[in-house]
Parts: sequence; structure tokens; C-alpha cells
Amino acid sequence: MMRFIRPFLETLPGVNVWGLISLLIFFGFFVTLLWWVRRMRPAHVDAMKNMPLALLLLLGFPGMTLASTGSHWGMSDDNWIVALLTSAGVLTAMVLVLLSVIKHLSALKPNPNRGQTDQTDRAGTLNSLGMGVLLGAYALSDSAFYGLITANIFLMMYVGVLLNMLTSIVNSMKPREEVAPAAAPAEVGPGWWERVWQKLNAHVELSKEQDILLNHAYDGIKELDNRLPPWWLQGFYLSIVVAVLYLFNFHILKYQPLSGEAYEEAMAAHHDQVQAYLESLALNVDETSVRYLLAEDRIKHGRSLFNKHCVACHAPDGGGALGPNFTDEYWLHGGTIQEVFKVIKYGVPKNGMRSWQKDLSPVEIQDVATFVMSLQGTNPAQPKEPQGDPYPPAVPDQP
Amino acid sequence: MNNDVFHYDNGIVRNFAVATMIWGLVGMLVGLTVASQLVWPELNADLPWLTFGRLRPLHTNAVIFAFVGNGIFAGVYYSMQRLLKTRMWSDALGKINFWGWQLIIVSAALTLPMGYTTSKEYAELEWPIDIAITLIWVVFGLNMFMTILKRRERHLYVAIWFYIATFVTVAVLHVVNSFELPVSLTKSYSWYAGVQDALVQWWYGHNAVAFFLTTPYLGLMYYFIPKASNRPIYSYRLSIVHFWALIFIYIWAGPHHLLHTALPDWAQSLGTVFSVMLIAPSWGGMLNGLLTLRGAWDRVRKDPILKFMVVAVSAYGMATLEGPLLSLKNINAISHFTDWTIAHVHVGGLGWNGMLTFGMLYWLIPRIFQTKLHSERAANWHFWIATLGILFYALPLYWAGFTQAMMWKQFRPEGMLTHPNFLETVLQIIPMYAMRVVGGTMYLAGAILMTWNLWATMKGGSLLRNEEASAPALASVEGRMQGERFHRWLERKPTLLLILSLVVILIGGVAEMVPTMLVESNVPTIDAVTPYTPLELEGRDLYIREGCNNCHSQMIRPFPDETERYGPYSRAGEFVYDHPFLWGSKRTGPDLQREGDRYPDSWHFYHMMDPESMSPGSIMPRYPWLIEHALDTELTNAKIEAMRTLGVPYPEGYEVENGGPSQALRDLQAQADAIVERLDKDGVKCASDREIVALIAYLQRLGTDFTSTQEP
Repeated sequence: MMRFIRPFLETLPGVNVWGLISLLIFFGFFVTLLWWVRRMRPAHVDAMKNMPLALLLLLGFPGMTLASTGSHWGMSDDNWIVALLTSAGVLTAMVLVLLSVIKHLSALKPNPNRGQTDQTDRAGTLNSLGMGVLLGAYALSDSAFYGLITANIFLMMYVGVLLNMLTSIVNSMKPREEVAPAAAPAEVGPGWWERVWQKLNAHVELSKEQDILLNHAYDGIKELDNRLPPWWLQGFYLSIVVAVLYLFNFHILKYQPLSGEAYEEAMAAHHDQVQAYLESLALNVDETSVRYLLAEDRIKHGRSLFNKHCVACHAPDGGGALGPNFTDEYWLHGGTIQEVFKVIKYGVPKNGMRSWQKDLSPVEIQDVATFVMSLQGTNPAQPKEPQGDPYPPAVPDQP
Repeated sequence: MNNDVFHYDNGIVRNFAVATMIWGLVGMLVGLTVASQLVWPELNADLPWLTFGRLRPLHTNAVIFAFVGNGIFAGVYYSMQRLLKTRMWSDALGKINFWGWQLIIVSAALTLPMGYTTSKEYAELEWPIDIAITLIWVVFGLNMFMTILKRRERHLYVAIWFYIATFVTVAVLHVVNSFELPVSLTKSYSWYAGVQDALVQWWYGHNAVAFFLTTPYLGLMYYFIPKASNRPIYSYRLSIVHFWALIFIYIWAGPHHLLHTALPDWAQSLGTVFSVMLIAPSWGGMLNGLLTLRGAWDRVRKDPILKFMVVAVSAYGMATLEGPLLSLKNINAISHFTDWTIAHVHVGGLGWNGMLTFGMLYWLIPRIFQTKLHSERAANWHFWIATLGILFYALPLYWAGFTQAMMWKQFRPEGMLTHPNFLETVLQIIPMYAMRVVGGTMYLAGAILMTWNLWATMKGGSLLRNEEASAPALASVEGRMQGERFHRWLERKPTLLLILSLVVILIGGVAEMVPTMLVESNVPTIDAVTPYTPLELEGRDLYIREGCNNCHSQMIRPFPDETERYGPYSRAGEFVYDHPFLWGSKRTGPDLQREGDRYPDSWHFYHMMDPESMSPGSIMPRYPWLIEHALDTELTNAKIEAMRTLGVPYPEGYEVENGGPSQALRDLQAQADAIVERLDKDGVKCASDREIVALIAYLQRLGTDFTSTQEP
């Protein structure tokens, strides 16, 4: 079935939207990351204040630039996707580094020095301003679209970090509540899947259901007040973002073509593909497919190759010397173009004619053969006596 | 506090439940018939009333309006009374609803095989029946709404919101899509033409799925799952959010049936993006249904009713993910016009609607008959047979759809199509059609088993026609109640809820249809396109009568493989005189949009008489009556006049008789004579008054206006 799929996929209009999809996957990764960061405890966030985040922003520049200016540098779509994925990989690595640093720092005591907060806040603000300028610049350039998206990812990330700083500031103003030590569990707790499932859906445990039972009753049917499942809600928001981006992409930025234009592009690509194939066929001519096409350029090309390779044995005017005479009607190994082609290609070792297939391309052999046959009926200076059998003169094919 | 004593009407529920079962069997049997006809075309039996083209709409109408329709009424009448703690407002209206609806179904069963059809999918019934549907729907709505107004349960449960939204939206959809100009008692022409007709039709068609097959069933799900499992609904908040999101977003998604067609690009994009946004609201319903069963999963293992409901809701989730994915243009490029769409439809129809109906019937019939289900074992068997039947139905068709699409699109390296003969792609998938017949048979067998089981249950019990209940009457309340937030307040304002729902569902339709109707650049004029001649018009009506659009599309998409196979892709301006449009939605046979001048007249003659004579192995039915019957030209003049009223620029007086036949009829005769002469040259003897002559005229006209403007 892959035989069907791949060639078809290549001809699909707008197939570079897959690049957009992989981008959105990474976008989703960062949103998840943001959510996790959002829920970090104040102690962790305090530790983050010691991080020189401005430095991280500087590291992000190369990735962004690479991704979004790819088309300025004339990168093809394939290379561009590679560049994008590379930069996404770089970002992921950076984030992992950031996470491990945070983990490490959270083992330290929180820094009570408020001054540091202001400093990193200022740095954060400056950075987001810089981001805004950059965004504006990209928005105005015509490679904008995917660059905009990448830039947006960064913006989201830093906004998230800023929000956290804000939260920690607010938290640090409120009296800290003592975190009560967890009571030793009396019974076996929920298994790992249960816990994952519960976290995913923000379930209230079944045993605590009564707490969220609403006072609705309809013919005995009751209703619980569970939260909207977070993954569902975020998925919903994501779909709205995708919808907006899609409309923006196709109808405002017109980065990808709509049906009429997409058709023209697909037809052109199809045409090019067919042409390339046919040309490769022509280039792969062999002794069964060669035709006698008496064209000026072939004869000229054949003559120059003949002069280079064949005159030693066959004389410059084809009259023959060591090798036979080409100007008469007698041929040792057949007088059709296919037979002449075959002789040049494979040689006739027992007669001293060497093989040329390692020296000449199929088209070159064809042109030499064409030249040789065009010598029929000419008058050489010192013709060798006829050898072989008579053949009727070959008729050139219609081109 | 004094309690009112009142009685729930179970008689009407019983009536609708029995009708659901009977029409379920009928609809599924017709479905099995048409599925079998694709594998064994002999089953068309050379009878006009049994051809695939005429029976397929009978299948769709029967399963949607007769099976699901009666299921809706059965469930709504049962649940609504109990959720509102009152009897239906009017027993008489209930009876009119019941008998009126059955009469509509019977008239469909009679008119569709006779060829009285508008050709518009799920709206094939002609205008007198459309009027009847409107009246009965109003009766239903009136009864429902008055019941709501005289309720004893102050707040409206989520199921009721869904019922209200269903009522208003179906009313709007049906009325707007049914704007048609009658020509006779059994024939009308769509008010809209071409691109606009396509948009209105699929705004209707998609939202018939949304508001007839989905929202009322979501309402039923919200009632029957908690009742059957004795569990509270998982999340009240989720029901609010997904209800409003669903009814708002669904309306916009109609154009996803028209991707890569002549519909303007902006409308197609709206269809795509709103379909993607629809995943979450639909899944909200699935989640609320499945998560309500938390804590009851051990009972699901044993109780067949809960099993039916779980599969139903899961199938709903699958279909509402697949649908949006099929609305992405890249995937739609593969799936459109293939059996993939059919598979998708049946996952939803058999999985969601069918299984939930079965679960509901198994639960409610023993209850109203005051007895136990006759055989729980048989119900379990039914469950497994039905579930397997769905798999055997859908999986072969996925394979078939994908295979056929790939075969259509394949090019040889030299640039020609690998499978230039369309028939080759059909023959390739006939084994899958056979497997699907197995799946459908299993599903029908399960339904027969259920009908026996429930009939035995009914026989073994006694109907509690009027079930006593009591509840205090509702005192009216001014302003907000204590702690009542906005939506909770809205839940006791049914009129406002109805108006808000109406406004919400109107937005999408207006946003999409108004620009398409009013902004001329959406349908660029092509000067070479002229109206159909009278003979061609008659031929077109024959095409509609025989249901040719059920197998043949008339919409060439802008893909290299399509233009290579069929000719230049279809432009919007070519369809301006097509009342109704005939773009089709499935290619069991090849696209016909540029059929004109492709074959000689005699080819068409032989092909209609016996398709296998021109296409060996063809599964198309034979149409010998087209050659035997004379064309009825009684209505030709009236048709020309009707078309002119609809905006087709026939010359004034073209259809007027003064002393002799009208100019229209004379032109008809002249064109018919010309065709007969050409047929004669090819050795075909045919009188000029036969129906086949008109059909040939129509087929030979198709697509030729536009191609005349193209360079050779």
C-alpha cells in the first residue's frame, strides 16, 4: 500500500502544512510546560529568581532566526523543515537544561533578598519588550508566518515565566501557610494509572463525590460539580487557536495557496515529474530502445566524439583502417542503429573492437552511432574493401 | 404542601417505541437490499421501483426519519414527562404527532420508489410531504413547549435544553432548505441554484445530522444513562459549556461536505475550521456520558443495556473525531466521493443512533409494561452481534474507500492515469462490498432478535398506560433565587432559552449563506453558460427521477488526476441554472459533469438499456423502461415557466401555447428528431418521443458550455 501512498502524498497540494502541524505539536509541548511551571510551589519559584534568564533569551535567538529567516536565504521546504526541527530540538535541550537547573536550585534555601526580584523582573520586562520588537520586525518581513509562530512560542514561554514571578511576588507578600505533613495512608492508594487519569481529568475521587453533589434532582437524576477536564478544555482552546491560524494562513497571509492556485501548482509539479521521467528514459537509451534520429546536433556531437575516440582505427572520414569502412553498404555485425549501437557499447572483442560502455554514456553512444550511420554513401579518401554482408541503407526515424 | 396527582402517558411512548422497531427493521432491510444490489446487480430486477437510485433515498429517509425519528419521539415523550413532572400538555396533539409522522413515512415509502424526489439528500420528499413534515413538527414542538411551560420541575435539565435546540433548529433547517417552487403535485424545483443550492443543502444536510441525529440523542443519553446506571451526571459545568458550544459551532460546519468543489474557498475554510473546533464540544458529550459511569463499570460488564450505551457513546466519540478529520482538506481529498464517507456515516448511525436506541428500548419497554425483559441472554447476544456487525460494516468500507481513492489518483511515470477506466476501480472493491453486506446482515439480525425479545416482553406484561405520579405545583418566583447564577436562572426560563438557542444557531447559517447569495463575485458569471433546452430539462428531471445522482457526481475537483480523467475542473458559474444542483456526494460510478460529447448518442442508448453491453462487469442497473416509455411532456411548458420564475432567462412567451404547441415544445421535438437521426445512423431505431431521447439530450449537454470556451 505504501506504493500508493507515497507518490500520492507528494502530489498533495499544501503538503507543507505538515510543517505547521509539527510546529503545533511543539507549541502544545510548551503549553504543557507552562502549566507545569504554573503549578510549581513558591519555594521552587523563589529559587528561579537566581537564574540569569536574560542569558537564556539570547540563546533563543539563533533558533528563532534560523527557523524564520530560512526562506530569506532561499531554503527549500525540505531544508526549512529540517532547520525548524533542529531549532525545536535546540529549544527542547535548552528547556531541559533549564528544568534541571531549577531542580538543582530548589534544593537550596530560598533567597530572601528582595532586590534580586526587582532585577530579574526588570530583565524579564526588557526581554519581552525586545521580543515585541522582534515580533514586529518579523511581522513586517515577508517570510513572516512560521517565524511569527516560533516567536510566539518564545513569547508565551517568557510570559509564563513572568506570570510565575508575579505569583511568587504576591505569594511572598502573603503569610506563608505551613504545609501540613501528609497523613500516613491507611489503605492502599490509587494505582499509577488511576493517579494519571485523575490528574488528567481533575476528577474528584469517587469516595469524595458527595462533596460535589449538586442539589439538582430530575426524576432521580443527580448532577456532580466536577471541573471541566483540563485536557479537554485546553484541547478546545487549542482547536480555536488552530482555527484562527488556519484562516489567517490561507486567507490573510495567503502563505499557502487555495484551490485554484494549488491546482496550478500541482499540475506544474506533475508536469515536471513526467518530464523528468521522460528525460531520464531518453538518457537511459539502450540497444533495444535506440532510434535512428538524424538530427544536426546529434551528428555534430557524434562527429566530435568520433574524432576523439574512433579515428585511430576507422579513419577520420570513416573509410576504415584497422577497423571496417563505414561508408559502404557492407556491415560485419548488422547495419541497423540498434546493431551499430550494440557494437559500440559492448565491442566485438574477438575482432579487436573494444567496448565503450564504460567510457561513453548511452546518449553519447547513440550520437556516435548516428554519426557513423550518417557516413553511408560518402566518399572517403582511402576506402577499405567491403567487409561483411550487404544491408539496405537505414531509413531515419521520424522524430 | 399539597401534591398534585397526575399521570404520565405511557401509551404514546409504547406507540412510538413499536414504530421505532418496525421502521428500524424496514429501514435496515432496505439498506441491506441496496448494499446487496452493489454486489449482485440482478437484484435491481429490471424494475423501476427497485433500482438502487430510487431505493437508496428510501433507506436513508427510513433510518433517519422513521427509525431515529420515532426513537426520538419515544424517548422524548418518556423522558420529558418525568423530567418536568407533568403529563404531556395535550394527548390529542400527541396522537396527531404519532399518526401524522407514520403517515409521512408511509408516503415516503410510496413516493420515493415511484421516483417522486427532489434529489436533495435527506430532503428528497416532495413539497406536499414537506408541508406535512412542517405541520407535524410544529405540533410536536407546540406540545413539547406547552408541556415545559406547565411543568412542576422548576429548572430544566440538560436533556430539555437539547430537545428545545433540536426543535427550533430542525424547524429552521427544514423550512429554509425546502424553499421550492411546485410545478405539479409531485414535482417541484429548488428555489436555489448551483453553488447556493449546494451550500443550503449541506447546511441543512450536515445539521440534520447535528440536530436530528445528535442533539436529541444527546438529550436521550443524558436521561437514560444515569437512569440505567443509577449514577449522577459527571459534570454539570461540562453539560453547559458543551451544549452551547455544540449548537453554535455545528451550524458552521456544513461546507465540509463541499471541500474542493466550486464553493468559494472562504466558505470551505470556514467549514474546515469549525469542524475542527467541533471536536471538543462533541467530546464533551461523550465524556459526560462515559464518565457518568464511573463507579458503575462492574455493572457494565453484566448489564446489556449499559453495554449498548457505552458502545453508543464511544461510537459517538469516534465518529465526532473522524468527522472533523475528514473535514481537513488534505484528508478530504482522499475520502470525498468514496466509501470512506459511507463508513463514517454508519459508524455514527449504527454505533451511536442504533445502539443507543436499542439500549433505550430494552430499558424502557419492560418498565412501561411492568415486567422484566423476556431474555437478558438474547439482549447480550444482540449486543455482540450488533457490535461485530458495525465492525464488519465499517472496516471493509474504509479499505474500499482508501483503495478506490488511491487507484483514482495514481499516475504512471509517463504521465497517464494508471487506471483510466473507472470501472476497474469499482470491480476492485466489490469483495469489500460483499463483506459489508455481511456486516449489515449481522446488524439487522440483531435488530430482529431485539424485536422478538421486546415483543415477547410486551406480551408477558401489561402496559401501564397511565402511570401515577405526584409532585407539588410550581409557585412562580420573581427575580433570582438564592445563590442562582446566570445559567441556573436561564434554566427556568424556557422561552428565553428557546430564543437564545434560536439566535445562536442562526448565526452560522447567516454568516455563510448571506454572502454566498448576495456577493456576486462568489459565483463568477460564465457568458457561455446558457439555460437547458426544454428537452434537456426533461432529461434532467428523468436523471433526478431515477436517482442517478446517488451514484454519479457532477463535480470535478481541482486535482491533476481528476482533470486528467474527466476534463477541466468545475467552475461555480457553470451551475447557475441548475435547480436543484446535482453535484452528488458519492462516486459509485464516474463523474458526469463533462459527459457531454464524450460518447456518441448510441453509446448512451445501449448503456442505459444494458450497462454491461458498453461496460462489461458494470454494476449499474438496467433502464429498459426509458426506451419503452414515452416522455410525458404535459408539464414541459409549466416547467419552463417555473424556471423563469426562479430566474432562468428563458425568452418571454417561450412556453405559451397559441393555437399550436409552444415554441418550447417545438424546439423539444426538433432536438429529439435530431437525436433520433443520429441514433439511426448508428443503427439504433428509436421513436423520438421516448424518454431515453430526453436523457441523452441532457447527458450530451453536460459540461459542454464551459469546454466550448477552452482552447483545444
